Amino acid sequence: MKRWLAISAGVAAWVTLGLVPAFGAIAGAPHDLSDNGYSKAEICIFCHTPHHSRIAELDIKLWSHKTTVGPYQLYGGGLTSASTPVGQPGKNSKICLSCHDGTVAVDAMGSTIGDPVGTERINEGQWAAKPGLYIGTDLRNDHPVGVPLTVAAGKFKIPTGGSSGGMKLYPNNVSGDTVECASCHGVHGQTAFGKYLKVTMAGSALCLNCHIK
Amino acid sequence: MRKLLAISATLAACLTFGLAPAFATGIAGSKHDLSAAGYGSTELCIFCHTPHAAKASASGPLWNHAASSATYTIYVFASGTHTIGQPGPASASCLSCHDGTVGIEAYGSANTTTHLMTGDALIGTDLTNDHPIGVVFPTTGSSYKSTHTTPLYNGKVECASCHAVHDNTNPPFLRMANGGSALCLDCHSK
Repeated sequence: MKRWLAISAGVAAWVTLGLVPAFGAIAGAPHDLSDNGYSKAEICIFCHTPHHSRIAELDIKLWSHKTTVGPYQLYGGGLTSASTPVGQPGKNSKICLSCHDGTVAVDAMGSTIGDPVGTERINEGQWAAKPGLYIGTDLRNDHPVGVPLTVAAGKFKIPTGGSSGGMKLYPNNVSGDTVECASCHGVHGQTAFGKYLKVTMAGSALCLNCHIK
Repeated sequence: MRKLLAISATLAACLTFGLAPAFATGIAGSKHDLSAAGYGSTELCIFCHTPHAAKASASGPLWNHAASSATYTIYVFASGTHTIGQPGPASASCLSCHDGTVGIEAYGSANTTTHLMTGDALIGTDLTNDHPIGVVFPTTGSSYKSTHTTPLYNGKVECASCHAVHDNTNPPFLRMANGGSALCLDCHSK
């Protein structure tokens, strides 16, 4: 009980401040696919496996999901309006796009023993009717990823809350590092603000964490 | 000591009744039952344990399997501060078959390599694609639970933290059913 009170107080503090990610909530959240009729009634296995991981495919902790190979059409055709080159998505975007670009089945997971195919992509089956999940490989109409953020007065700044899974540039949250899906989205327990956002959108706080407007 | 007594009692029961252990989901009939594998003995325990003349290089009680002499390529952490080393005894016992360098049949005085581990049970000596073992369980930070039912060995996560080699109630020899990733979430706060 004391623990729950402490946790509740912690969550309340986070929600109030809207800055630090809330954790501990992957179970029952949208990324919990244990109850979606797939071959494993588990949570972690869709992305992580304890043995024979696909780390050679994608350098992510104990990676288990078959990795997307794109290729992607890039934002601005590969150049932002400020003439910053946009690269192909980095690994902290590929982890997401391996489901959300619709080239690999959601349940194409498992160790390197075998080659998982899965049964349905994110624009098929039970997911087809759910809007917003399918990003596709055409990223021209999405906020750029794989794009470096260079600190510039009046334009861009390093996001705060870069530790403990908060908003950050990859890999080290310094000027010149890149914006990736995981810069804004925390896939595990960051459910306080919806869509796995790491920071509240109230007052566009998430956007203004990088953009100086 | 209590564990040894329990083992002794079980052994005594086996001898008395002349039967395989009575655990319905125990080692008999499981993948760890090598009695019918043609590896030189039709016994169960002997591949790992012996009642006499156990090996000095014991990685388990009354140890009877040839040890691996491999040096392992250990897991590399992407972030955070972790203390990790070579696998401890509660992993070495498993790896003496599962790293694929020692014959499964190499018990007793044998140190042969006739039947090496294959397939998805083969872990190998490169542990970079496996959950870290030989790693001190972090006691600080919010990513790990300070209270968990899975055991640590000398404060470290080892193979035996997740796997119960004598009980295949939850294949593959997991300490608990992993529905909803319960085993993972026993330690990880996610």
